Amino acid sequence: MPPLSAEDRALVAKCVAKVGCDEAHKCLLMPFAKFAHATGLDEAQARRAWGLLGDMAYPWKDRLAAVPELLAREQWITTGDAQLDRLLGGGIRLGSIVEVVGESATGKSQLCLQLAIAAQLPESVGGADGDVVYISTEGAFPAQRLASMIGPFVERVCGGRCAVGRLADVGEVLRRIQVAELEDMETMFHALGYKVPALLSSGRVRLVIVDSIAAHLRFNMDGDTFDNPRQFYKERSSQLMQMGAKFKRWADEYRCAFVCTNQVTDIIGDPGAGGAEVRPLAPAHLDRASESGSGLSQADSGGEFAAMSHSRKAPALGAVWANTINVRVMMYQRRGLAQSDVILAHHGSGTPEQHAVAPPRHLLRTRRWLENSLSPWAPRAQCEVVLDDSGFRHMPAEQPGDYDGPEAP
Amino acid sequence: MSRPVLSLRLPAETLTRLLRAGFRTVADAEACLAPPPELRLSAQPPPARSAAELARVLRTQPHIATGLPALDALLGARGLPTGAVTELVAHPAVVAALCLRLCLAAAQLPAADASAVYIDTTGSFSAGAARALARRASAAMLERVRTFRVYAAHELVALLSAFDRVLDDLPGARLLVVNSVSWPFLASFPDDVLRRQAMHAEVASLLAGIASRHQIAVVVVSQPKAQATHDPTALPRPMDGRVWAQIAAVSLAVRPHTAAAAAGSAIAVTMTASSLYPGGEALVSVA
Repeated sequence: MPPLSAEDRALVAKCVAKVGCDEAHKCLLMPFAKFAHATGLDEAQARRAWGLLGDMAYPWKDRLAAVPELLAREQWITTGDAQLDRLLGGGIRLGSIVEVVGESATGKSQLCLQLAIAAQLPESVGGADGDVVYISTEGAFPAQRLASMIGPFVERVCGGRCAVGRLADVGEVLRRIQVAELEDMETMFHALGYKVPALLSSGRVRLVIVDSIAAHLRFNMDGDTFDNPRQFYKERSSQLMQMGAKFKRWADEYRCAFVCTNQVTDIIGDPGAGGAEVRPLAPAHLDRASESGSGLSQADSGGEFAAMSHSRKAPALGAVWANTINVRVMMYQRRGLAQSDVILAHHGSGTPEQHAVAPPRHLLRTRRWLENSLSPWAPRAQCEVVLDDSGFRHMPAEQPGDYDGPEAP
Repeated sequence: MSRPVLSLRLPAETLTRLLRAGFRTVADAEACLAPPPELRLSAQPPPARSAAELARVLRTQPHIATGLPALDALLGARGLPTGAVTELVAHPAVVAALCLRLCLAAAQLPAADASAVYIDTTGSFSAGAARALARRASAAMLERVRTFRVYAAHELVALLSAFDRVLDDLPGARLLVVNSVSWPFLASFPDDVLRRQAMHAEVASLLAGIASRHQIAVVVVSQPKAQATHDPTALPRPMDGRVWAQIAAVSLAVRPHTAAAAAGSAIAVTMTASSLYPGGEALVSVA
């Protein structure tokens, strides 16, 4: 933007003084008629001043970007698994806010740890070659789990494509992750407001993980401070929106991604008919089969899908947080039944009586799903996943019902 | 010192009301009775036009065919109206692909320099997703979709106020998408609903002016408010109220389609208000 002439500078200064704002751009945050009245200028002069303030606040000529230019700048962090990357539209995009939501023990922290390693990998294998900031609000940072995962994960992702030895140096990986353990809401907002931008200013951080963002916002707010629940929610919404706005700006300015874990809350009342049924993600090699009409729902996981409304749960923190995030990833888990459990099954078609049977094989093991529930750049879909010592990866499609591979507890 | 209110000869009830309202002396009341600021007429009022002429203009107005048959059918079999505002009530991520599709449709119009402008306020624009949607389109067409990244309310106001000059630089622009128009005000005024509403009115008039002066199609995405139930089939209602519907020729509520048989990228579009079309619902697949 060309520098202002002395006359223009004087005009702008006069307007800012007359309107009484402490910052020039705040003069734009009022209706133009009010601005004109406050400055006492005539129409033409007021328009000119408004235009100058606008150019100072947002030099649009510099900010105009065409798609090919943005393509060159866009960067994604892999999840470590090609199918999961496809599920999410390429992985975790730098500059976005991703929410991971699920009931407790569905593996949200595990996924975050996996991403923390992936972010450090070189760009040639889908990483971002950057540092990580990990904010832990629910208990201690799981350093032990992370350390045991580094070797197998790097081995799985890199294979023979790069020198695994250096990357799998546990100490080096741990050194590149800055951890903050925050015990209450005040500390959390202070850290998020001041400490995080200080860490980001080094320019090397590519991923910020907040695990979890909901912990202190749901239970630790002092009930006595607020007269009524409405004020509590209003205050919380306001703080969430401010935090979200800051995250978005930092994500773009410092080229990093924010991954926030969220908890679930109960749905009171009827969740509504036609719950959140989501089609399973088509594995790449089965695409031809689905074209011939064999139907994907038979080919994988027996046509099953998971839905949060089935268990009468919904993501916590409400619509305010939902309106702030870019991507929502849902995680589901169904614990396996024991061999000694019984389930009721119908005799056959037509008869209403039930008899007790031993559970079929596919109900015996714990099953997990990852769902891309809300994303601007990938359609909604689910993928069954397994969790082993190298982290999450998609369920191999060959034997969906009989998979007996190693599974971490 | 000015005369106290209690010394006035007025009915007791009136005195009580004056005191309750905070007037202690006559000077307080006189300050409120100051004459309002003069209304400034910024331009000559437009000349009167006959209804027949307006109807002719509406009939011959160019539309932007979206390339999505179900959506075009909903929009009078012609597409997005130019010279008018279309409101999409939805979460920015749910309509991100649809907005990209609309931009690509505008960039593919027969005019030599046809282009589209996308104002991204929430970070849901992905160039990679745009290229994937465009499939076999040439790089030249992707070049015609221009974006602005805006973070705060004052930046949006500055950009829209200067939009006449932006369009001087991009004469062939036929579409402006703002995704979303609610977020900058939520971010800048998280507590102050009245301030947000005042700014909404201002930006609404800016957008309506841009649409009619330059005869381009303007699409605004307004974010939905919290629903009392968690029913995913419930229609999203705008959190900003009716301000965008009042300037829009078409208001569409968009939500992800939930039937198991539907493809993952299907959205259910319901026309909730329109001055141009009869209304209805459509299932659109933005693959």
